[in-house]
Amino acid sequence: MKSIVELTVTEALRQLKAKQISAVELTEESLSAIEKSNGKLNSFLTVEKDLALMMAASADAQIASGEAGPLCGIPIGIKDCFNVEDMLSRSASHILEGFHSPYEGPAIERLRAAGTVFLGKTNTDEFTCGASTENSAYGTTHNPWDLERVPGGSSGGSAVAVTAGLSLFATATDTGGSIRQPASFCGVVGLKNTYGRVPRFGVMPMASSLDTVGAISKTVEDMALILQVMAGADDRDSTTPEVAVPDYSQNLKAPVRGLKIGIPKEYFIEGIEAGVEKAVRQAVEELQNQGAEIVEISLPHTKYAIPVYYLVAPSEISSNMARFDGIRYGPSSDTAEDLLDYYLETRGTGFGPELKRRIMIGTHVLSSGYYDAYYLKAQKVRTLICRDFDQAFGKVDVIAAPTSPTTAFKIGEKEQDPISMYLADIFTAPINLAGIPALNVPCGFSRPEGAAVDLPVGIQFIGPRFSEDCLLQVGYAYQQATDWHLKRPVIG
Amino acid sequence: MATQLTKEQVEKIAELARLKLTSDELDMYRIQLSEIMSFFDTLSEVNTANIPPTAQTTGLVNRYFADVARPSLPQDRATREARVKQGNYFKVKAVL
Repeated sequence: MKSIVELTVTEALRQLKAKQISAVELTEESLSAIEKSNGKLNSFLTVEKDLALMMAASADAQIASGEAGPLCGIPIGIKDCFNVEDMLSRSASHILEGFHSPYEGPAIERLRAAGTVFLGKTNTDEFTCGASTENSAYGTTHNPWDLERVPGGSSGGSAVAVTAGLSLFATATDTGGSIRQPASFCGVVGLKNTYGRVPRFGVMPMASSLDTVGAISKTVEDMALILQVMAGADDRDSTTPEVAVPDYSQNLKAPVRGLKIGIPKEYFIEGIEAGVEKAVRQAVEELQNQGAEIVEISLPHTKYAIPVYYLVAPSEISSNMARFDGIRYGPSSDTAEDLLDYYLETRGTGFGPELKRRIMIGTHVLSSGYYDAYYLKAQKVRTLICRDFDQAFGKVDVIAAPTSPTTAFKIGEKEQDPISMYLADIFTAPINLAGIPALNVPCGFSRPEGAAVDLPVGIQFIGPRFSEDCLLQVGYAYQQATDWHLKRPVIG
Repeated sequence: MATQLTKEQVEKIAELARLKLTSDELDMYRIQLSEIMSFFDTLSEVNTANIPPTAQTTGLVNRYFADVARPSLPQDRATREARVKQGNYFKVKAVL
């Protein structure tokens, strides 16, 4: 058997079906990989060993009876912002210390029904607010390529779990880049779905008009299998349209010949790491060699996306975080004398520094006298950003761009400067504002100044709403011709 | 035009947000929030006359489901995570 670090979901399913390996063996391998490396990586916050082995045994029984679901026996990591019934679910926040969720939503229900095995919860920035996983209340996650660097965020724990072979894939969420940027920093595949493609019910909200639910995997082929299970409308999320779910795996192998791929000039700005630009341009050349037509395009409002995002997202965060009052769940003040004090103390001690920052930005810009100048203005510029993309997709099928202007930065490097951390989302946040899908695929390595090793670079393929099938097709064609996605780090 | 928030403004925002801050936090957030608010000024150069705001990107307006009773979270499960309870009820400090 291939080492668990290299094993893909597709290959594991084949071996499970051929009875070359059992789900229990696969789960034991994952658990021992976690035991071996998690101390250095802090990828998993909690490991549910007994539950995982029980789910694996039941998966084996299903396989034996011939009634296995499409991902039966595959051990997975679950980002801590997903509620899983009776499992500790904290979104890496002290304000949910001890919270064992009484319910779960469609994304987890579907993965359960498909036969996946839940290994435990992966680290994230608190309530998914961050681009480095440093905002977790339970310590930062370390990048397996260089332990002194961040894995990206907020889905850093999930990206590392997949990169280091601790789980075969992992669930994740993307509000401003939280799937794609860590996938890029770690050299794995991450799909940010169209807004509403996968129901959000049961996933703890950050910014409700931007939040999307998806996954991180080793290959594009694996991602097609995972999305097949997770996608589709649900009555409990009123923002999921009844758009048919295509057969993602069937569409995968179509050639890219004749496909028009747009290259937006605003994504190749000054300040982008030289090795990142080089790797991305080479990836575009590869697709051109396969017969894709490359077209220069412009997305003129790109530079306004970060200020718009950091007005819209914190406004929605401040509303969503209002539910944490210490009354229905989580720790609360023992010393407060009245109800107002109770709220102030519970929230003042429960939330970390970045959450407080975002809650206050949102509270301020939504408060009387500021709403029109900030929130409403941002929503209008958001319209212009959406129109940029709509116009571009009149000319091209797919847009290709770097996922992040840099490779993984050092732990602590941006800690004292919130705005420099916010700018890490510069190439990912516009996509969330427009509600469209984007797929990160590893496309090479770069060694920035001061780095001891080469670090992964990611390219993102961006498409119109509900074009996940086309993005997977482009990503698959690229991975058939290259081997960047097969490179694995040696954990120091 | 750089925005400079005063200490009193930050105290007011924190109270509206129901966050108790230490005096060190107040000092830090006064500086950081002022910088972040100034960062938003760049949007004033965009002409948004006659541009409608966007909050929903997929064009979906409403989603309906049949108006029939469905099982919901049982009361004991819905309240089990609360620290302070009376029976299957949440217990809250006096509001008035």
